[in-house]
Amino acid sequence: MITTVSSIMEKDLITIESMDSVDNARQIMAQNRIGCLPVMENGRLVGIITTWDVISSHPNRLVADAMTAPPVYVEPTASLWEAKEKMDKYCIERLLVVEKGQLIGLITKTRLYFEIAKHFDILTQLNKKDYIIYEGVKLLRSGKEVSIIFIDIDGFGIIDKEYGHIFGDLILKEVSDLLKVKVPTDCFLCRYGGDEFAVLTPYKKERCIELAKELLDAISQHEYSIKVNITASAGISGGRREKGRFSGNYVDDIENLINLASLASTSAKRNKVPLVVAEGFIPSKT
Amino acid sequence: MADSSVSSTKVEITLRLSEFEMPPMQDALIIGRKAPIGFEAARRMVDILSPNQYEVVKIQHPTIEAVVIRKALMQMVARDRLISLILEEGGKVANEATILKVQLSIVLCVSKSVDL
Repeated sequence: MITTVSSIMEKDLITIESMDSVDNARQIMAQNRIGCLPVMENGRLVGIITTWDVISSHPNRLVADAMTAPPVYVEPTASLWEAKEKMDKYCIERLLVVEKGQLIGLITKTRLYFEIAKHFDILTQLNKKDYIIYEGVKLLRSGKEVSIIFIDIDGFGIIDKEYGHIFGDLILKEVSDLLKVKVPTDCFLCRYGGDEFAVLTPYKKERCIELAKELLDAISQHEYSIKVNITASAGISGGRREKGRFSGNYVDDIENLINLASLASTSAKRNKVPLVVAEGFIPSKT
Repeated sequence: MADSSVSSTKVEITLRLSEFEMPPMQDALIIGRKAPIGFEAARRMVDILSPNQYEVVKIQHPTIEAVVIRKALMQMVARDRLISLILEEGGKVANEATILKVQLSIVLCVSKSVDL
């Protein structure tokens, strides 16, 4: 499951007609303490009027002559990052949510950023898994290759028990800093869970295996601030798009790939090998 | 003791009657970006007051948002030529907040020589 716009949108919207006056829009905004009004014409969404539009227009004007049009919107199934990308692209503070041509909600930048912050790990300064699911869906949509490297630090529980959680956190921070440097710019890194990291790549299996080896080497060869040997195991999935095993529900597909890679990393650990490549494909949940 | 001062207030009313021009604009209007009416209001106004007689054109200009032109004029001079002429002259005096009424007279001069 990935957090979507529908879970954070405001649903009780006050709208205004395009033939109303800017002065009336100003009054409605002031009375309701809101910063924008979606503009409707014959039940159809035609634009949005914001406080900025009101300030910069003559109060006698029609809303139609002061509004921002066409309206920028997302679908309710869009991820938080898709919404953020749109807000950044159009430099807007509010984004409408439209489903099958009907206005159903609105999200503000403040609310969106608050929600996105929940998907960011403060210790490692890395995004959590929702972010790579979003980027993975983008790769699949654009027809690119997708593969996952799931990295799990070996015996991390022992480090926590022997050195304490403060030093455990320090190791996690150092590993994540290392990965940030080593992961290529066309890949996406996240902290998946406690001592687990995931890397989304647009590479075929062979290139993905090479990268995983480089990352594992970097982790094991690094000199950590507490003198301890750290190694990690990795699982790899995907990188064989030509086999055409994707379901079409891209979120499910990426989640399945992550799951496969995670199981492969467990298998690597169990078999005391650094790397296992998952061969199967878990059927979609739906 | 009675108050001897008397005061009164009078209102003087003057009426000035004149004919309301129909349509209220003449040959063209230049509408500023922050004028009390914009493109959409102007379009609806001319559609209601003088259907099919005027065209409202949205303009890419720092201070002018739209120009309303009588269609009949565009039968005599090409649309783009007319708009650029109006913007060239009107742009010198128009500002963002104004709506300028433009009177435009086109005189066609034809001179031909024929064989006797």
